[in-house]
Amino acid sequence: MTEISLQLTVGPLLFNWAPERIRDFYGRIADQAPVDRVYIGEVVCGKRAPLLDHAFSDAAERLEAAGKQVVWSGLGLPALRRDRKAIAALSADQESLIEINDVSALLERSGPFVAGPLLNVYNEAAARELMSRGCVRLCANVELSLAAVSAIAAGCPGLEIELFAFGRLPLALSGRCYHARHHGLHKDNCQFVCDRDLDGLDIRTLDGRDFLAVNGVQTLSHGVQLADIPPSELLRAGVTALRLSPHTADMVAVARGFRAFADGRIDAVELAAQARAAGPPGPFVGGYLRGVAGLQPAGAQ
Amino acid sequence: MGSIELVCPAGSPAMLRAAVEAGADSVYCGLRDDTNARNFPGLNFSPAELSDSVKWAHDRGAKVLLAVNTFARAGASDRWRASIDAAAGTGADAVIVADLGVLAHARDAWPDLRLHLSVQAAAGSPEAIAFYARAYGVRRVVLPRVLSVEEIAALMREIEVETEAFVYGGLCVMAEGRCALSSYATGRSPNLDGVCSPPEAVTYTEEEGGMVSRLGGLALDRYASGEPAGYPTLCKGRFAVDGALSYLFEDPVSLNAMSVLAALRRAGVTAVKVEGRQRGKAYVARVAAAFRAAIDALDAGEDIARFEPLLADLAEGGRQTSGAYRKTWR
Amino acid sequence: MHRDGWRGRDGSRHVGRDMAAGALMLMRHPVEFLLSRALHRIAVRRPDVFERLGPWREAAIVVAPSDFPVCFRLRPDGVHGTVRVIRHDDPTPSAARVTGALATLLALFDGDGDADAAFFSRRVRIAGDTAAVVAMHNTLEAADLSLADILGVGFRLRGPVNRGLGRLRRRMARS
Repeated sequence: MTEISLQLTVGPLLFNWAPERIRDFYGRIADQAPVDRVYIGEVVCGKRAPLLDHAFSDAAERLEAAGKQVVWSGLGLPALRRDRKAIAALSADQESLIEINDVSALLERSGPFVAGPLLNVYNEAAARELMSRGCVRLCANVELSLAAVSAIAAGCPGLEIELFAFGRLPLALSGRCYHARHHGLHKDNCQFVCDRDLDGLDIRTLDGRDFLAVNGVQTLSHGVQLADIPPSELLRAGVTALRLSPHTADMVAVARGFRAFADGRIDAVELAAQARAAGPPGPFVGGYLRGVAGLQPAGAQ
Repeated sequence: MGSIELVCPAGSPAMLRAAVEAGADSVYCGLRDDTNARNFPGLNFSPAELSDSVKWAHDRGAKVLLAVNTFARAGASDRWRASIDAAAGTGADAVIVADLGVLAHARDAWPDLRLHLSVQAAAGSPEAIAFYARAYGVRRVVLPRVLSVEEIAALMREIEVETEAFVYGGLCVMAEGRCALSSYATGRSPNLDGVCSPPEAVTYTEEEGGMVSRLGGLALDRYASGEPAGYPTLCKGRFAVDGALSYLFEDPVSLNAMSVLAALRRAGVTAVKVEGRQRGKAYVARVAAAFRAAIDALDAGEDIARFEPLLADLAEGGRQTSGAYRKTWR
Repeated sequence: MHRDGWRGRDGSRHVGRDMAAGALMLMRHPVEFLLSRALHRIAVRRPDVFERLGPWREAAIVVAPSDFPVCFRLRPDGVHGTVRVIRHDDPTPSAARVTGALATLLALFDGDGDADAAFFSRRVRIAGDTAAVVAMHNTLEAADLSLADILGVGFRLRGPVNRGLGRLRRRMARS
C-alpha cells in the first residue's frame, strides 16, 4: 500500500460561460468537490477576459476561503497587444504560483510557475530548461504517452507532474476563430458566438461521425479523455495529480469518482460508470496515454 | 543576394542543386529521420549527402540550413543532439530548431553555430522571440503563418533578431508545433514524428457519391468524378457543423504571397521562405526562379504584378491564397 | 481486391483481352529477366538509391497500367530485387497497387514529373500502403531516375522512351 496518493485538480475553464454560471460552478467546487487545487483564468481567447474577470476573481476568493489552492492560468496564444499585456501582468506577480501556457510569459518570469498543457514540452531536457527558470510543476501535453511522462519524471527529479485526466482534449489553437467563421463572422466582430456552446460546438465528418469540437480559436476533441489507468501505475510513472477539465457535466460527481478511484475504493469500470452518469459531452477516449491515436477508446467503458 | 534572402526547400541533394541553380540564396533540408518536420519515406539527406551538399552549395555562394525542428522524444534526446552535431560537423550555416532542450544543446555544445528558431516554436509575439533570443542566442525567427503584414511590421519594430516569412507552399492554419489534430486521428504528429496526416493513414475509396478521401478511417472530403482530388490533410477537410458542410478550418488552398512580397520587403523582413521539401526538383526550380526574378525586379525598382500568375498551376488543388498576410483571413 | 481489367484501345472490354494477356504472360520470362537485370545494374551503380528506400526496399508495388494487358510487380530490393510480369487479377499480396494510364504511371515514377499533379487530378489511384509508393516516388525523384531507367533505357534516351515503350507495347500486342 502506498502512502502517497494522487491529488486532484480542476483545470482552467476553456469555454465562454456566463458569469453567473461561472460563479455557481466554482461555488459548488469550493463547497463539495474533493479537489486540492483549482486553476482559474482565461486561456483560450483574450477577448473574453474583460467579460469574465470579475467572475473569476470572485470564484478565486470563494475557493481560497474553502481551503482550495488557486493558481491563475495565462493565455495560450496571445493575439492582441492587450493579450501580451495580460500575460506580462500575470508574469510580473513573482510571489504567486502561476500557470504559463505560452512562451511569451517566460521572458519576465523569475518566480515559480506551472508549465501548462498548452506548452509544447515533450521531453525531459525541455522540462529541465523550464525547471532552471522556476518551473515546479508540469501538466503534461496531451499528446504524451504515459511512457513518455514516465521518462520525463525520471529525468526531472522533484518536478510535480499533472495528467489531463478528464475532459475534451485541447488539440490546437489558431489565429482564426472557427466559431466566428462558422457563423459567417470574423474574429474582430465575433459577437462572442462561442458563448452558445458550453462544451464546444460539435464537428462531424462528412459521413456523420463525431470527431472534433470548436471552441473559438481552439479545436478540441469530441471524445472525452478518461484516464482510467490504475493509480499505482500512474504513481510509478511519476504522476502526482490528475487534472479534471470543466464541462457542463456534474464535475463534483466526476471529482468524487476520481477521488474514490485514486484511493483504490472503486475500479476503472466503476469510474467510467460514474463519469458517464455525470453527463460528459462525448464518449470516453484514452489512446494518447497508451501511445496510440488519441481517439482510441478508453479502457473500461 | 538581393535585399531579401530567398530560402528554398531541398528534399534531396538533387533538389538542393535545382534550387540553388534556379537562384535560391539558401536552402534548408533535414536528415533522414524524425528529427525534422518532413519525415516522409524516401525523403531527406544522409549525413554524407549533407556534407557533400554543403560543400557544393558553399562553392556556389549559397547557404545550407539544417532543420532539426521536431521535438525530441522523452528518453531519446540523443538522436536530436546527434543531428545538431552533424550540422556543426558538416559546416552547415545554421540549424533550425524548436525544442528547448535541443536549443540548449546547440547553444552549449556549438556556441558558434547559428541558431534559427523554427516556426514550430510558435514564437509570434515580441516577448516570445525575445525570450528565445536572450536564453539561447537565436539569430533569426521563422514567423508563424498566421500573422498579417501589418502585424509583422509591428512585430519587427519591437524585436532585434532577423525574420523569415513563408511566401509559397503549404499553409498551416494552427499554431505550429502545438497542433495535435493529426495525432488524435492517426497517432502521429508533426511535433513528435515530423509528419502531419501521414501517408500510411490515407485511403481513397470509390463510393456512391464519388471518391472519398480518409485519414485514419475518418472521411475528410468527397470528390465528384472528374474533380481533382486533394491529399487528406486534416485541417483542409470538409466537416459538418450544425448539419452544414464546409471547409471549416481552411480551404484546400496553398500559400502564394507574391502579391505582398513588396510589402514584406518594405517591412524589413530578412528572408522569404518557400515550403515544400516533398515537392521535388521541378517544383523548387520553378518557384525559386519566379521569386528570384521578382526579388531582382523589386531591387531594380520595377513592379512585380507580372510574376503573380506564374505559379498558379502548382497550387494544391489548383487554388491559392495570400493567407493571413491580408487581415481578412481571420 | 482490384479487378481493374484491361480495356482494349477502343475503350471496351472484349474477348481478345484475356487472350492478349495470356499471350504476354507466356512471354514474360525474358521480359522479367531483362527488367530485373536492369534493376540489379542500378543497384550496383547507385547503392545510394536503395539506401534511401530504407525499409521499403522490400515492399512489392504493383504497377497496373489501365491501358496495358498485364501489370508489373516491382520489389526494389537492390541486387536481390525482382520485376515480375503478372496478370491484372493476380492475387499475390503486395504492399501497394498503383493504377492509371501507362504514360501517367511513368510520370508518377519519373524524376521530372510532379506526382502531386498526377495524383490530384485523379489520373492515378493508389491502394494499399501509400507510404511504400511515396518512398518509391521520393527515391526516384531524388535519384534522378525514372521507370525508363529501370527498364534499361539509358539517360540519353529518356526523351524517346515513350516512343520506345509504345513500340514495345505494339510489338507485344501483335505477338
